[in-house]
Amino acid sequence: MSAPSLRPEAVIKEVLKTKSGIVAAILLLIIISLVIAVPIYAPYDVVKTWNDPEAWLSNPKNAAPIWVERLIGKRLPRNIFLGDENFSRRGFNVTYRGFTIKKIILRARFEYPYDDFPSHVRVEVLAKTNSSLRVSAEFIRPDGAAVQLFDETISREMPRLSMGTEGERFHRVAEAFYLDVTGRRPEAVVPEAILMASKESLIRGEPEVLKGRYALRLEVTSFNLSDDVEVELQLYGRVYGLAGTDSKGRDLLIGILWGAPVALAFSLTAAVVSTLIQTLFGILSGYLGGRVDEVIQRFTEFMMIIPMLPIMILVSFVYRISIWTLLVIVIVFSLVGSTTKVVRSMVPQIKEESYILAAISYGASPWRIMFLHIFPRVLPYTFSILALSVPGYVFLEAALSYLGLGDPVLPTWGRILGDAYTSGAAYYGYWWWILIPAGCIMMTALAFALLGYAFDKVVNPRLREM
Amino acid sequence: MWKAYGKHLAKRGIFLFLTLVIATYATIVIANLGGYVDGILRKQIEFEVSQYLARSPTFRELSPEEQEARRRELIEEYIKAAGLDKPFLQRSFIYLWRALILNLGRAMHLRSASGSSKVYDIILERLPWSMLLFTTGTIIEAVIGILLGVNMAKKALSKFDRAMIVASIISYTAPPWFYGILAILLFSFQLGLFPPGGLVSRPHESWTTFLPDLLHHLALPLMVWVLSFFGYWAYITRNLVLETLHQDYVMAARAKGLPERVVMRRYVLRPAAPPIVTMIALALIASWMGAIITEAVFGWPGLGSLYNDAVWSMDAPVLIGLTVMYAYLLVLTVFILDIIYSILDPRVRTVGA
Repeated sequence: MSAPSLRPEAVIKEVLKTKSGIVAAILLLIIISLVIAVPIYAPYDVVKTWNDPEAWLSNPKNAAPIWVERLIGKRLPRNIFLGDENFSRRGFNVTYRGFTIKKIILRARFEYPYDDFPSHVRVEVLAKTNSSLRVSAEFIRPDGAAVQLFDETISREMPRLSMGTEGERFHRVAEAFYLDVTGRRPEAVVPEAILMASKESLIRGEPEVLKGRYALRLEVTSFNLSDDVEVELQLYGRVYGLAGTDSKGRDLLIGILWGAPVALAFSLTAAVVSTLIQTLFGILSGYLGGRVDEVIQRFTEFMMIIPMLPIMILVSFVYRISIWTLLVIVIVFSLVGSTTKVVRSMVPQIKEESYILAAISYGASPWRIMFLHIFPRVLPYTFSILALSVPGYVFLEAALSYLGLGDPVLPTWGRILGDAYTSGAAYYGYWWWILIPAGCIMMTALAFALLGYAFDKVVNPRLREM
Repeated sequence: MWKAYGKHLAKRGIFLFLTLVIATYATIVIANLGGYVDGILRKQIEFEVSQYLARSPTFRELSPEEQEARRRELIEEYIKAAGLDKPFLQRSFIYLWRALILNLGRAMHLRSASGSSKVYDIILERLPWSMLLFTTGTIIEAVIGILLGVNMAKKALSKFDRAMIVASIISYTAPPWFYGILAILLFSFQLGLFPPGGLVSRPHESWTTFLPDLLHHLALPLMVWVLSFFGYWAYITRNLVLETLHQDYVMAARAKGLPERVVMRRYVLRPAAPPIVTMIALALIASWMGAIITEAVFGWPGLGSLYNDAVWSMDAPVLIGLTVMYAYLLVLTVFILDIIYSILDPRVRTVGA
């Protein structure tokens, strides 16, 4: 094979003239912009936050990305959060038969203009009392109907009252309301869909959202004048952010952004280091020949025969390694390989070229010739091999993560996909949880595959024009 | 010359056998966690012995010292029976020898559907399913890819060629399991056309109902497998054929006025065939072993998912059995291909000499 001399800068310039080179460059720019966006979008310890279940409690679970609204032409509910400061409070004392009773009326309103029911509703009351107090809560609908959510005594020992639509209490309230409106029992109780549906639609049997202004009204009664309560109302939405959320309420956009530098660092380091080392072994083998050549060639064939993925799976399972340990193991397994063979086949011809003969004649050492004269000469030919090996490493990391054998703490694209698989995202139709990380993986892999193809066309022009 | 050729073959044979030995030994060491599994097995034996003795009425009548002595004695006996009294290093070579003579022994945890714990039974039970899916898939993808590649080379640089190159790159950039995830999302859960995984959806009494159900489950993983690999075959075939198309002897054949079909068959495809035959042979061998992640995605009960199960239950005998069987198949294939080539192409013989 003839190997014309090529300068790396010229090769890159030529690559950017091909169509596949341009597409690859655009895809790479998109990935790099994801990397840059990490510190802007999430200027905190992403890894720690990602693995902390407490950090995501206020996000809706399994929420679709916000832009879904444009696809289906509906307004989908966002998160609505009413903290203590959103409640207006009116306190007064009532004296009755010599006892002074403290009463507090708390009230908060919110607008609900969306076309779908919230995914979950939660009311939380924290009593600040030395003994006990009584709280009753009413959910007031835009049509004027008031539904009593609870009427309870809260004591100092258990000062927190939490009521969510997944619980028994909300179900009973909703069932009673349904019975009251329609005169029959509901087949399935979905509290948020009953309590926020218009009465006509409930009677029809096809609940539709009653839009308008809702209110939550609490009445606190206590014998202790210094008692008080703290209230929170949260309506969880069905859409969140640009990439939606997973089953733990984690903002997938953070994971996706954070996955970009991890994927690039892992796959590029693996590709660059292994290609360089394989090239060097190829030069050594081809230039020195003899016994060195024999050993390197046999070792290369050995490494090419043993299957890498099963060994990686076994090692990852046994030693529970982090992605950076995995990187080291991947490199160790790729010290020699197909690049060694390709480079070795090029060296004998380069060895006969006049500039190498000139170098030998002025007494340059073999090392000098190999590193300073032959290495730069074969380098452009390894560019395409390097780029073409990147997708393999991207998918290797994703495959291990998919099997649950990936890095235990870092959010990576593969781990997000793996989480989606274990949570049955495909079954439940949480497509964003699968398609967005999969799209990122594919984009990265394709960028380097096209880049490799473009390099190949430039350095092996016989594929281009004949 | 034949002597030199024999020497070359012997050298190849020894090298390939050494590869087999090293790969098997590495698997033995990793699968036993470098001896760590021994510790687990010892603890398990101690626990079982204590459980067994606690139920024995005669044991309870003994004094505490006697009880302790009896317990130790029994544990020693069991450990010896399990062969755990020898150091791991020594045992690892016993395992290696057994693996190399294909004495695969019994699995630690996994069982075949019929309840057998013999590694042979477990592997042979899964092998047909891997072959059904992946060998079929490999044949289909190779046929599609090679035909496509030859046509691309014939019309090199046309619109068709360029479009197919892009399709090929997209096809082989991603592994089949990756397309599998997307295909399951689309075809199984959104459109409901195919089952999302498994071999059959219910137990069957007769072949007439079993076969359609099996094919229905086979369709999606098979399509995904072909989709992921046809591009590889097409692209490589294209470049190989393109290279031979521009050899001087092809031009000479054309100049002689031979019809294009004859030129293609005799002067282009025949010299381009050997590397493709190698690829087919290696791909077919690889297909017998199944695909670990694709099988995990589709819940396909082949050898790939057996490997995955064995990893998760740290079933060293099954892991070693799978590895050594694959290594033998691979090494034999490589060796046979070596022989075939040296018969077909005399240049290889002289290179070896």
